[in-house]
Amino acid sequence: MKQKRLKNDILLILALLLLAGAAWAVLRLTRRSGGAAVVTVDGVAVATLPLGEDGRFPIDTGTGCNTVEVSGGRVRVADADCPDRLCVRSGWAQYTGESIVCLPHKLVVTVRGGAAGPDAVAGG
Amino acid sequence: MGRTKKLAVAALLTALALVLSYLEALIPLSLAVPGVKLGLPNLVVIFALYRLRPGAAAGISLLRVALAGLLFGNGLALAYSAAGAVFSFLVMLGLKQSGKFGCVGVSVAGAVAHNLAQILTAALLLETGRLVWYFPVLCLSGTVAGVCIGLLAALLVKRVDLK
Repeated sequence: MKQKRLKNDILLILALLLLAGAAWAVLRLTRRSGGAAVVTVDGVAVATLPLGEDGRFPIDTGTGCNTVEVSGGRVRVADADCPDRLCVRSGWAQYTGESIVCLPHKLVVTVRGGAAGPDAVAGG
Repeated sequence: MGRTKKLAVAALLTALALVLSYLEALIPLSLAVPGVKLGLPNLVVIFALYRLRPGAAAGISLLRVALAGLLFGNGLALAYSAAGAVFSFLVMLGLKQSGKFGCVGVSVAGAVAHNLAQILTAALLLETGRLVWYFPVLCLSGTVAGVCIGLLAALLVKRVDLK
């Protein structure tokens, strides 16, 4: 009986590890490249940057400045004068749904799908 | 055990679970993904599940969540942890009563159920499906944490006899 419980425990653990791996693989395979980056400050959209057009965009948030950079279909916060600079360290975002957050400035950069809406098949 | 002793033991275990909640809040494990944690209070809940009646174990779990929410959290955090605690307890109770799993299996299932319930609650409250991205990470972290807590709980259940 004890042996059987041990076996079931191990099977359960393996099944859950497998589930985590499978879920990760499915999400990874179904992700889509984004079409545009939407910049919001305190919940209000202040800019929509198409990911096809490279450039650097300084955003004045009222509490500080974040420089958002679009390059090669990706977006990042290239520079910021917030105290923790976590937004800069977050690096690049390029897939639909990814976001970069700067809590001190209440700035959020979210990658959206193509121009036809968030559910459209984006990528070009 | 008499009624008074049962009540005293349940109260002691509730206090212990509350202290472990506090201890866990001091450990900043969840830097990368919110929700990654060890689940120390679950140690007490599993112990209670094996050594007390299911009702007492449920009471300990719910009181722990309510008290920890009032003391260290806010309303939103309380909603998350209540959903996690209730779902996780039901899953653990079911698995334990089935008699087919040991402490580790019960603990692992409880941990993953807890994380799953929290993701679903967050997705409902924030009305966003993006949180599915957290599932693989939290399923993995729940399994690992569940094994650790389960092994500890197995030792406790084996060595501490309340009679």
